[in-house]
Amino acid sequence: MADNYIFVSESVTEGHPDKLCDQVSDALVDEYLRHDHAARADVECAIANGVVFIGAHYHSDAEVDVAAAARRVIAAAGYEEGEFNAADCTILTSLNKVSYQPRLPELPEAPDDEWLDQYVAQHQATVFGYACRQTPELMPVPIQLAHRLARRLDEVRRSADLPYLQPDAKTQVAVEFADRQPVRIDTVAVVASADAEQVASREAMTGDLIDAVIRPAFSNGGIGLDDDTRFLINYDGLIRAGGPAMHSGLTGRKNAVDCYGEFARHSGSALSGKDAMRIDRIGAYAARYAAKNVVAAGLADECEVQLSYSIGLARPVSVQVVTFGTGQVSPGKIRKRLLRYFDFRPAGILHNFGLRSFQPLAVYGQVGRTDLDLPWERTDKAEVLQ
Amino acid sequence: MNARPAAVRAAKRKAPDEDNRGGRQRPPAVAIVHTCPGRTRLRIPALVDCDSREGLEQVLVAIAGVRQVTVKPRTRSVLAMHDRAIPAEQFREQAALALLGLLPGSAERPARKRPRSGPAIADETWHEPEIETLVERFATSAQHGLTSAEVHVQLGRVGPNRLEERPPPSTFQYLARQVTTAPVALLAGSAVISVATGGLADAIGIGAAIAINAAIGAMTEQQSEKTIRMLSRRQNDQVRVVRDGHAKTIGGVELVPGDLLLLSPGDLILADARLLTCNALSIDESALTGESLPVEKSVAFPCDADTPLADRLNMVFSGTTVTGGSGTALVVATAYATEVGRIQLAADSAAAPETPMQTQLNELGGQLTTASLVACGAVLGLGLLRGGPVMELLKTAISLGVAAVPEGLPAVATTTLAIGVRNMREQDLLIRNINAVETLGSVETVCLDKTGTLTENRMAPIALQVGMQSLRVMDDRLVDSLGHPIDSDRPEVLALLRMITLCNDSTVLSVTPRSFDGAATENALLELALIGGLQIDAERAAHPRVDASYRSESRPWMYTVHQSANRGRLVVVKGSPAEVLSMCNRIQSAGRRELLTAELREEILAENEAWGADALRVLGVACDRCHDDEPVQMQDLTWLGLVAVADPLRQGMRELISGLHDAGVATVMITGDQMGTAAAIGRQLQLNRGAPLRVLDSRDLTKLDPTLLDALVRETDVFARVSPANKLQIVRALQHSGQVVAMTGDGVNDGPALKAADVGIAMGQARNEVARSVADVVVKENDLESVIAALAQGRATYANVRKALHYLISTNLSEIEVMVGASLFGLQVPLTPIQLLWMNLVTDALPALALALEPAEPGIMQQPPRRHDEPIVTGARLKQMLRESGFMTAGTLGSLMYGQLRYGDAASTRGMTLNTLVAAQLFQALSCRRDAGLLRTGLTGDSNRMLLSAVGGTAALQVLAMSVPPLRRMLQVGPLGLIDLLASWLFALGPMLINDYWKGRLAAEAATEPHEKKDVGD
Repeated sequence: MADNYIFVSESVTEGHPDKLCDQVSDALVDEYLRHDHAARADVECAIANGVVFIGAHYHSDAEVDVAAAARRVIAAAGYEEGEFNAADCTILTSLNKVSYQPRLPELPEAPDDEWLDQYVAQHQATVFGYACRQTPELMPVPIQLAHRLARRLDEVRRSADLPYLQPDAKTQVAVEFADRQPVRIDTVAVVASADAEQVASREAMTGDLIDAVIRPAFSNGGIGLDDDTRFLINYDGLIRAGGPAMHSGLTGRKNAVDCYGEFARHSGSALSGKDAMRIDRIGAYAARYAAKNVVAAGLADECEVQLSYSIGLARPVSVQVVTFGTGQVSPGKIRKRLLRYFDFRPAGILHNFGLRSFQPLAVYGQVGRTDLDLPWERTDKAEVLQ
Repeated sequence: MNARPAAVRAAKRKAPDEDNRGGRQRPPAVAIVHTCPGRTRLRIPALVDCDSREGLEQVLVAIAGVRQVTVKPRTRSVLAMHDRAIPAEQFREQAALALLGLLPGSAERPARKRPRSGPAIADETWHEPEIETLVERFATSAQHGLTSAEVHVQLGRVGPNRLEERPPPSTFQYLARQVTTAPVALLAGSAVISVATGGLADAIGIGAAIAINAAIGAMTEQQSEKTIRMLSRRQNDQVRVVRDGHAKTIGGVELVPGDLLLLSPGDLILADARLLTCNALSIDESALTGESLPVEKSVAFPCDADTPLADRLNMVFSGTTVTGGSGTALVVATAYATEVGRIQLAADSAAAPETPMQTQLNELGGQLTTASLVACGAVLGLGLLRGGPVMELLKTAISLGVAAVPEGLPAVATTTLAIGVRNMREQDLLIRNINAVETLGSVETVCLDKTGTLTENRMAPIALQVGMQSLRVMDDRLVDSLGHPIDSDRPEVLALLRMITLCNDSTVLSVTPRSFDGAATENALLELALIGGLQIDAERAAHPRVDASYRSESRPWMYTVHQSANRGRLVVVKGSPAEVLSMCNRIQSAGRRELLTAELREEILAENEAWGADALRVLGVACDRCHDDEPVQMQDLTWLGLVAVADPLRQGMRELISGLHDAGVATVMITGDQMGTAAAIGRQLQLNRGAPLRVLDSRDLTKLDPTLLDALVRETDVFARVSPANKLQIVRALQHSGQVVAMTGDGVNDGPALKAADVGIAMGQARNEVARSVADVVVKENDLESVIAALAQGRATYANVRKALHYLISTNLSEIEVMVGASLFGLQVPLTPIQLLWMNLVTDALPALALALEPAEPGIMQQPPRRHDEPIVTGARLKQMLRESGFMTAGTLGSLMYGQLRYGDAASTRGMTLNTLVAAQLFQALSCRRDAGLLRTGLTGDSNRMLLSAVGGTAALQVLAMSVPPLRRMLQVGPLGLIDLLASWLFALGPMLINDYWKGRLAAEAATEPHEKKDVGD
């Protein structure tokens, strides 16, 4: 690997159709949980041609007004008027009430092994968790910057500072690395949808975005913009509307945005739309929890934890640790400590994290968040790992 | 034959004449009399006034693809031979355009051809003059209407407001129609030849055959057409008018020009009228203009003489319906002076319309006639080659033609359809459109409008929560969660019941049966009070209301204030549970009031939400006491409980849905409800049949790409939040996706969808006339289950036509084959003309007509519907017919050879042959009763007495003819021994057993093969 290289990660705003689908899926999982504490639900969502398709498999007696909940999400994401809007878009649902999965268990105060072993993995999954010292939240810098930009875009749109901004946008940040450490921001790219009638000119919009969005987003801490940083805004010079009226969306299409921006490996299976018994979702959180604590404990500057589950077994069949040569102790030792201090069984993770609400996770990343008090971002095990 | 589905839809969706009535120049009225590919006969009334026949012929021949045209001014008809690719309708339009200017236009028809009831003032324009001019003109008053005396005078002058049907043909005409056909002409020819060759007896026999056949034909046809004509007769429609200064309801026929018409939603307009006043009046003019969206009317809209019909917004027209708003209008034209009356005159088609099935059968009949004529030619040619006597051969050939031509085909269809209509009437199913009978049999999707169709369209109490205990209403009693009846005298229950009685504007009209006057939800609350045994009148008398404040947009609750005898004032609040609860601080529980804790609040709201998700409408109730002089304050109230009401599903709806699913018919529920409610009901009804329930939630389907909608409708069980106008779109989309659609409904706004559906089904006591007037089938109230019976009857009717057809074609084929086969093999001529005629007489029409009476086969509603584009005779079926006729022929020829060996004598041999062939055909009639063969299914269920008598009677006649010497002589058969008689029957029974077994095996194979039925499930 060259000493200097550029790494690029992207993020999207809450109005991006793929992310909209993720939010609808997670909102519906929450909705089932709200009506029924033990509900299980898998919810998929797709948006095409202005039609929202929702497929739900759920194990609950609760009757959820799926369409109403979806419309709330769509409205909250900023689609309140226009061609595609929450009030009169068409929603096609396929609701499948199933009874083959166990329901969410009541969590005992102090679970014993028998209880923990009782809930086995119901999916085969290989999941990854990653942490590094590039940012205070122990995340890779490119994805964090891309999220910051996306979040800033949403804030500006909401505050109506730039009235022409529409909900759908994509951000991309290219960061130059030296010795695997970020040194500068090379390029910032934004594709933001806008109401062409309200935009004075392309140049005006570019200026607005640089001044109101990009500069503020990179102003607080970490590496910042320099004179050589390039801005690519609406690359082809067209000011266009966006959102589901223009392109389609699907739950689980933005896995890299949800995880580490492709800086580290992530599982192929989606996170959103799955309840707290889905090992391919909570396993990813558990792996991040483990990796973050390893780095926080100073055992390594960079750490990836891999967990592999087989259907029918409670414990992962494989636990691997990679430290990319930054380890203070050998990966084998770290692995042993992880196995001693972390419970990777589904029921163990559930008991530890006590997950009840997913919708906030469905935008701006599911790991490395500081705005939410996420249990897998705690570093409470760092001490015992040392 | 494959043009059928298009024909169905064309017949069904035909918009009335769309020529621009407002224009000065309009083409003459042209109607299609008859058409088959490549040949069209038009009727053009204006031809009467034409004097240049050749000129018109030249003009018409100039139309692309037209080869030859004959114009007959005297009969007002035009016969054209054209490319088969040109549809008749296209030719009609082009002809009308080509004749534009050459013939008088449709509106300029001379007045003399209008029936006597037409008023003399018919050709005026009514949309142009000032209203005052018109009022003056009719010597009426825009406030008080006409006086009785004036009405009387007018009625005498213009006649009743009725579009008369052409009188049905007389019995003589029916008979005449029977004897002026090609087969009869052939027969007559045969008779003439007989007389010429000295066979007077033959001629007499032929004459008798003609007479008997004609009598049977005329009788059944007259009967059937009578039934069918009944369908189109309007029943006594009522209208509201102002006469002598008073509003009154009169029969539509009594309307006269000058009457003042009152319009309200759901009214059928029965005369053309100029609007005097209107308030958001919208009219469905689709019957007249083909425009499916209601038209908003306007009094002041300026029109000139050229304004097209559809744009005359200041007019309302006969045959249209009021979909919303109200208004008054001045009647300007009645009966034939109305626009619809003119159209009817132009169309001039009072004959019972031909159904698609009849069209198909006519075509089939034509093809079979050609085939049998070719066979006749073959018999003649072969005979001549063998050097037979010319005259004899000619006679035989002609007789064969007569016997083989399936002249009964169209009659079978008419009769079977008429019987279908009658059977349905016995089940309280009123058929209003004869096409519906056969279309019902191919219905693939039923759209069910929820409100008023699946549900009772009222509110009923379902559940309540008092003192933190949930109770349900079951079998007219209050029960707890375990189903045990509870005592409604418990103080907390009583308190709730009393308050919902007081805070309630409804009144009890009668206690048994319960009937109320008021808003649906409040009626349900009173019903709950009655169930709890509360004395409503006494309660209300004891607490007279002194004040009330109703719910509004911003305030989802209402309250009433009542005077209590000695304890000051009582305030009762009811409304949105969350809002009402937020104003309470205490809760009434068993006998005392307790503090309303946060936990209790949460529990109450959870129950509210759970009920809401179960499609219930939930109300919270609270009360307060205050002093007389205290102002009413909406705080610190006492919470009494929750009450849940719902529009109950009708009895038997789940069975209806599962019955439809069993019959392979997909179901779609359409409702304006929110998705949660809609999904709950969809699940209750098991619309998803075990698969995921698919709900489409959309407020505005018009925004959707139509092709996308076409794809989505097939995948949807429930349409939620749908606006009424979208119902039409859903039906259309289903049709585009290739489905034959039935739609049920009962409201004004269902009209367009009911009409667009292939079969529109209205509820008997529909809320308004519109739904019933556009529906094809009307079912009795509370008896939607009879839709299943209607579908079954439709299927059975179609199956019976097919069975009769199968019988007719297979037996006629066997006759042809026997004659041709004998010639080929050099056997003697098997049957003489008189024998062929005898056979035609006894085995053709009667058993076929009797098959039309066959009851539905068991299991008919456990099969998927037939494909609507499947021709009535498929290739496979034709093969089966050929096979079956082949075996019958083999048996008959076997009998012939046996006779030749045994007797050598031609007459007795012919006796054997005739006996075998007649018996074989009668056996075939029995076998045709079951599609899967008699041997396999047996004959369980209803018997068909008519068929058994037809077969038995025919058999008896045949035995008689074979055993009575004079009859034998007439039939030209020699005597047969008993053994030979039995042998001749065995020669018939053998083929029948083989055929029946073969049929059974094919059916068994078809049943085990994976069904190729389209996947209507998941």
